[in-house]
Amino acid sequence: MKEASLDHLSRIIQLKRVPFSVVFEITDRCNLTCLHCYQENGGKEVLSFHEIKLILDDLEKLGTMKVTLTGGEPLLREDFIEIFFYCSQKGFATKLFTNATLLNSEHKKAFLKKPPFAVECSLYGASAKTHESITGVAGSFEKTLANITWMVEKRIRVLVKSVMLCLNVHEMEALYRLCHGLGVTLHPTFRVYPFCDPSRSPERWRIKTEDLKALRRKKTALFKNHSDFDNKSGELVCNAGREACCINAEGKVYPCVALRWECGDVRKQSLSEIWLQSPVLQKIRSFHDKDFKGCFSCPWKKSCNFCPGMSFGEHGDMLLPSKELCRLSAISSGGDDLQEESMGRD
Amino acid sequence: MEFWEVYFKRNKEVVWRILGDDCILLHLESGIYYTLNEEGKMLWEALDGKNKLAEIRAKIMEQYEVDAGTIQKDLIEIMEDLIKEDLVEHDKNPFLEPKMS
Repeated sequence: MKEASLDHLSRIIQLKRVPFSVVFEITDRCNLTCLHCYQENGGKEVLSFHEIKLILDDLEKLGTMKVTLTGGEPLLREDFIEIFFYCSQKGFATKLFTNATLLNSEHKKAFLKKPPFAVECSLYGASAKTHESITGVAGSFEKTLANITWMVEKRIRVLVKSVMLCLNVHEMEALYRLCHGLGVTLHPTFRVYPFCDPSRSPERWRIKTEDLKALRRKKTALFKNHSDFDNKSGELVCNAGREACCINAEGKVYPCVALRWECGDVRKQSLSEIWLQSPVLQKIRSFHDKDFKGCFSCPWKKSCNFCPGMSFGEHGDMLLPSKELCRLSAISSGGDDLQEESMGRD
Repeated sequence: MEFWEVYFKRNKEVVWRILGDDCILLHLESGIYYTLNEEGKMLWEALDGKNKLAEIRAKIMEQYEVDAGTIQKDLIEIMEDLIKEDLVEHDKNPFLEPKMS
């Protein structure tokens, strides 16, 4: 027996063509109205518990090991506990991605009986004022904080996820301190995805270039090995559609939660058929690093954790460079200043 | 009690999948992944707490043409790792459990 490195695991998984990690959006509804959210809130004909069970049965047969239940807000589903327990029964490592405002006594009982593998919670500031200026719901900060505290006390593994926007970046260091005090790890990102509901244009809330430059100049700990900017291998191909996929609330299948290139619909075909035969997935699996022509020879490649989902959202083509990721990686690596200097010399 | 007389079972905090010849384990508390080879996979599948390790060993021996000593040595090594990494637990002898009337 041996402890498996992620590289070794990845080789096995891709060789056997397994959707090892699946994000399942079990609802499209949310009780918060976050400004930067890429999802449309409500309106879909969501999958029934029976349909969800069939999909989970299929995932078990395909060899899936990790399932992340998300939304919308997954705790809004009245049958959430049944879905959660069914995931455990099927032997999945079940994660939850939630805003943690709706955790009630029944959820708590369920989590004590069968703790989730991990709970990822969204928190957008170190104060109610900032957090709620983004979520749009008064009282959400206090509820999220109280439920994170409860989960930590019960030794449930909690990660805090935060999107750094022009509205909350001033509290980033305070948010690190808050999370440290709570005993949880903070995973901030600067990435705001443009799609799903373009009328809301969430891009306008992205961190401003001068604010990100100021952070870089302060040499905050954030830039050390930050997942947005760290790509030591320089690889461009990711696991989307190769060892991971996403199913939305009405059964549409995507290679990843970020890459919304539709591969099929579980209401028309089984998930196994989609995973093994979808032309979109076959195309994605055929791509190599050199196919990402604009990025392949980019000097900032190693400070850009390239996301084809961002490119797809911007251009409808996952192989093109993403303007937003180019902006972020150029700033994080100091390349923007080099560019300005060289332009000055010309 | 002698090692081979123990009823071992898989730790409930471990999720696992068989992928062809490979078996992948994930310990939910530590978050660590493990892989087992074919022999380890057979052992793992049999660790349901209903059979003594000696009985499991006998079943595995039936399936391999390798000599008994080699298989026994391999199984000891794998079991030691499984115990050390908290992937298995001892179970009570199911035949000594009080029967419900």
